[in-house]
Amino acid sequence: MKITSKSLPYLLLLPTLIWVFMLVVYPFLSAAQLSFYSSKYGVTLGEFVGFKNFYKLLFEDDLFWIAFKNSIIWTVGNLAIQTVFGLGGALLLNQKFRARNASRTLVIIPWVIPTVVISLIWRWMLEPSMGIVNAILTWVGIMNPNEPFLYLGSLSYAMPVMTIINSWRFTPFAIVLILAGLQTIPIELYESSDIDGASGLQKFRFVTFPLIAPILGFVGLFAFVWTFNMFDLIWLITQGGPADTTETLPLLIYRRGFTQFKMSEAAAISVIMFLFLAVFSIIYFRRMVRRSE
Amino acid sequence: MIVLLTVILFPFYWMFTSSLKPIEEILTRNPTLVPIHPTLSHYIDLINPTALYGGWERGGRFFLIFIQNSLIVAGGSTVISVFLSVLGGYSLARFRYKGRELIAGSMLFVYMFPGVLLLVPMYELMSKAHLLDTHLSLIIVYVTFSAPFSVWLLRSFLETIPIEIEEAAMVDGTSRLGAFFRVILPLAGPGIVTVATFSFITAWGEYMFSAILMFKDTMKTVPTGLAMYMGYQYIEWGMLLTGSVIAVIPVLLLFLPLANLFLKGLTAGAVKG
Repeated sequence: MKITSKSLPYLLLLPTLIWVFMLVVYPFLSAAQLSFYSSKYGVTLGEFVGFKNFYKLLFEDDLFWIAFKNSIIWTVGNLAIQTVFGLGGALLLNQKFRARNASRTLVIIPWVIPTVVISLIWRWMLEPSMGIVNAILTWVGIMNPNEPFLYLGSLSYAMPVMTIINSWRFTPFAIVLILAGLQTIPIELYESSDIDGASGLQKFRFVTFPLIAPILGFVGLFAFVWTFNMFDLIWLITQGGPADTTETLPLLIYRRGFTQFKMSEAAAISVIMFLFLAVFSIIYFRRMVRRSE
Repeated sequence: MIVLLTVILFPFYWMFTSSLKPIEEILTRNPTLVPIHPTLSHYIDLINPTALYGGWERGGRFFLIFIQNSLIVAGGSTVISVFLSVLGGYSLARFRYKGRELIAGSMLFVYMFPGVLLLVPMYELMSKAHLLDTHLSLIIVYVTFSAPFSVWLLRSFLETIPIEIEEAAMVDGTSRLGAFFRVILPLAGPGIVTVATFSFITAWGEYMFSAILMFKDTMKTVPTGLAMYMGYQYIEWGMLLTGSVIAVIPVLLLFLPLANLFLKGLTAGAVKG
């Protein structure tokens, strides 16, 4: 078999494609197949039940909708915080000041750290009686040590706190990406808007924002899907508690499949998740393309 | 700016200083910013191969093994990822062919599948291949996670290298392959660093699949090894904090010097994408 120059590009990609297909697409398809059966452990198929799993989930399962709602809140909350602070941080770092490069490096450290370590540090710091956060609050005088604030154990604050932790972790990454985008804006545009007498806010609105909007859009979609699918941080810190307030769809999949051994249900949930994300992405993408025309 | 840095970095400062405190100082109602009686006892307990520490003597003996496992797995998957992504990125960047954009897009599309769901099929796959409890299984899995994004990144990066340079080299007499080795690879340095760093960090910090595919305590990687100390009733804070510091150090050592290159490669790649 000759390696012609025509087949070369395909050949170069072939290992990657095979890898990805065998280890992502095929497993997903076989898991999706499970959703139409009654499999308990995922090893044997069980009997064919058609759409029964889907019906049960969508119409008879409260926890499914709670998890769905939580997933949306989780994702939107994270993206909102990370976009705002990412943009702010990037604008800050875009100005020239000493130690700028060092700051950029330091700022990205949270992303580098394993999830387990992150979950440990934060659980540790937010510990009501022994944690540093409450210690500082007491010292400052805001908090009475005999009635410590609860964070991860609180019904109303667990989700916001989780969102903050995750944002703490990924905002630096957002800063770096947005910063990259900011640095492609030619300086002449700012100079000419200065000549025209534009204020800082106007410069942002008419020069900066339109030019980085495409990147924001692109990264935003990616971040949405990534955050929506995230499992390990939430599981390691709260396991979906307290009382299901941080139970997102990925956690529900894990719970149904691995602790309750209802693998087919877990598979059905992920099919629904995938469809949701796919449709969302397509709509989002179309809108983005339309807007840029 | 200072506020930002403080907020970002404080948890690590805290973790580090806490690991130097004796247990009584850790489990106190009035934590201090600087340890009163700094001690290395946790570090010694953790690394000491014959350590007997409460009921966790197993943990003490195994921590270095966890690190070794993580190094093997992360290193292996990084090497393979870099190899695949250089080939794939070059293909996507330099050639024109049908389905090129589709393939490029699918590299990102892959990340739309929830990772959780892949746990069972992956387990079954590895089980059938008799690869459970081996380093190879995790290497294979981690390559799957980092390769697609790496291909995408490297492609964007390679696109910024003007094709004239290659053409000039070929005019001078080298083949396409020669041009590849002598022109492209050196210039793609920052991009490769970025990809390698990304792959390594992804593999080093991964928890889920390591927990599913590895059983023997001697095969656990750092994240799952650390999790061993986190029972739900009693948490071995001293060992845990120390282990975390140790877990983080190799990555930081690897990352900080390379960070500038990493950022360069990332920004070049990201903006074009």
